[in-house]
This record gives sequence, C-alpha cells and structure tokens, in this order.
Amino acid sequence: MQVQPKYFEKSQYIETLNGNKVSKSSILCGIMNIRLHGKTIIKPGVIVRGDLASVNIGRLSIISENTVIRPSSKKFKGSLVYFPQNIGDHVLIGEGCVVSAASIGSNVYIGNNCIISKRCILKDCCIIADNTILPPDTVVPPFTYYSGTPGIYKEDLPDCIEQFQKEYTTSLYESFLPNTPASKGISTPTKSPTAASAT
Amino acid sequence: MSTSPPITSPTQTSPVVINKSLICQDSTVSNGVQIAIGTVLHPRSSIIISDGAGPIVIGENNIIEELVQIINKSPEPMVIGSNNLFEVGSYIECKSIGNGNVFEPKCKILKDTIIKDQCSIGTGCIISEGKICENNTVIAQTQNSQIQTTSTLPYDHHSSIHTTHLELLHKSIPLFHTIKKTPILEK
Repeated sequence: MQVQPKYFEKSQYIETLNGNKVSKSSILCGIMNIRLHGKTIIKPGVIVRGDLASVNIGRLSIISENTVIRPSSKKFKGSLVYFPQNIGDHVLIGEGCVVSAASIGSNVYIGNNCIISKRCILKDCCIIADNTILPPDTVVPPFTYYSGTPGIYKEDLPDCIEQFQKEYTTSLYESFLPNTPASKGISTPTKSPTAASAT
Repeated sequence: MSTSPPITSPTQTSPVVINKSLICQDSTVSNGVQIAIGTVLHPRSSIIISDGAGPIVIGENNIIEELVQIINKSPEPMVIGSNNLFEVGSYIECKSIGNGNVFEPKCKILKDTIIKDQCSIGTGCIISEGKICENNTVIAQTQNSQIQTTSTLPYDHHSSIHTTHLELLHKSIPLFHTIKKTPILEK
C-alpha cells in the first residue's frame, strides 16, 4: 500500500533528536513525565496529561488531531490515585479520541472518535473501529476486532495484522515530510502564459 | 549505632485547605461567569456566554476537564450546582444543573434541559431538548437507543472519591500549570 506523502509546515513542528515530530499547537502537560521513545508524531490539538501521572509512548506511534491522552485513576486505599499509562510501539490513534486506558500494547489501531474509558487494557495487535466506546475496565485480547457502543468483540484478525501495522505506521512516518520550498515549486508550476493566451 | 531504622514519619501533609478555584491558563472563560470556591478547570476547557445571553453561575467544588464546553445561548441565567464532575469533551447547553452529577466523556446536553441532583449521564449520550432528569437518573447509551433507570449507585461511587480527587488536583495542578489570576468577589 502506497501512502501519499503528507507535508507539514516546518515552523509548526518541533523535531527532536530521536525523530519525534511534535506539533507546537499540542498541549503536553508535565513534560518531565512524558516519554516519547522516538519517531512518534503528535499532531495539532492533542492533549497529553503528563501532570497527572507519567505517560510512555513507544516508537513509531502516531497520535492524530484533537485526541486526549490522560492517565486513568482508581480508588486505592480510600483515596484516588492516578497511575502511569503505557502505549506501545506502532500504535495509531485516530482523531478526536479520548484515551484513558491503563495500557495499550503494540501494533494497535484505534479509529476516529473512539472513547477508551478508564483502566481499559488493550493487548497487542487489536483494532478498535471508528466511533467505538469501550466501557471502563475492558480487556481487549490480542488479534481481535472491537466495535460498537458499547464496544464488543466482533471477529478475529489474521496474524498478518502485526506486519501490516508495522509497515503502515512506518510508511506513515516516512511520508510525513517537512514542507520544503523545492517540493512546492514542483507541485505548482506557473501557468501564467497559457492562462493569458486563453483569455 | 542504632539497630532500628530511623522512624521516617510518612510525609503526612496537612489536609489541603481549598480556598480558591483553579483556572488553568489555557482555558477560556467569558466575562460574566461566576465561579465559586474549589472549582477546578483543566486546560482547554471553555465556559462561554454567547452575545446577549445570560450569565453562568457555577457552584463549589466542580471538576471541569479538558475540552468541556459549557455554553449559555439563552437570555436566562444558567445555574450549575456543586460537586459535579464534567469529564473530557462533554458539551453542556442546558438551563440548570443540580448537585453531585456526573457527566461522562463526550455526552451532549442540549438546550432547555433541566438536570436535578445526583444524576449520571453516560458516555456519548445525547440528551434531547427540554428533557427533565429527576434525582438519581442514570442514562446510558447503546448502539441505537438510550437506557434510563433510577439508581443511587453511580452517585455513591462518585461521592466516595470526589473529595479526594479534588484534594489531589488542588495539590498537583498548581505545580504544572500557570493559574489564571481572577478577582475574588466578596458576597
């Protein structure tokens, strides 16, 4: 599958040494508690609540626009505790999601407008369809497809989903390119002489 | 050389005295909004009064999380009680809200609705216009329909953790966010 290159304004993103691309219009609270393991894209409007508890995001993960990543809380010995959130490698989270899962495995696809409620556990290689609402404390087993309101098991996934998700996130990362003046010049050739002759 | 380890007194911090509301810098609050003591506004939350609309009065000890929109479009004032929890992305446009309610993520309350005390509005619910929710109403969303029952269980759970949740937020949020300075109105 060929992914069309997507260009971004270089001034709007911060690129780190590890290859993370973080939009300047995203809100990362408590930066010292957020660990991006490299080659992660964080798009505009994303909110990551590192101030409540620490957040780990693995390699080659993509978090799309207006998603909220917030650690989940639990009543523990009479008081409320926020506990750390782990997100694995090759995870793609769609637009407008609310993710307060306790942990998300590797090679997971989460569609647009999903709500992953408190303390959910998503194992490796699962797919959550668009507009799914997972109730609190759901455990999604590996190689399964969940959808609906509330999100329930629909079908099994083939083993190749792991390889597919790896290649897909890698190609998405590689096709997410800074907007260089050279590429602009090629894509918009000047057509003024022909336009003038037509009139 | 003492054999017993020194008794490290567990850092028993004094109970947090909540004497102000926390409004994060990234949130938007219109002029004319009254917020009582103890309310917490997370970043990117917004409380908006449309042009020509009435004021919004928010009571004590509410928690308003990220991307919550509380909008007043009608000329009458909008009154919100105490101890409510508005979770991520909920949209509130209703006339009045009582005390001790829980609004789960991405629920939508449309205009002219009245919500009384100790209700729980489930994830992704859309409450139609003009509905009146009595005390202890629980509404949940399924694939094609809404389920409505009466139960005190959600409120019991909410009330058992709400005060500790507030204390935690009042301790931790000022460490990480710049807080808007607001003038304090003496009543």
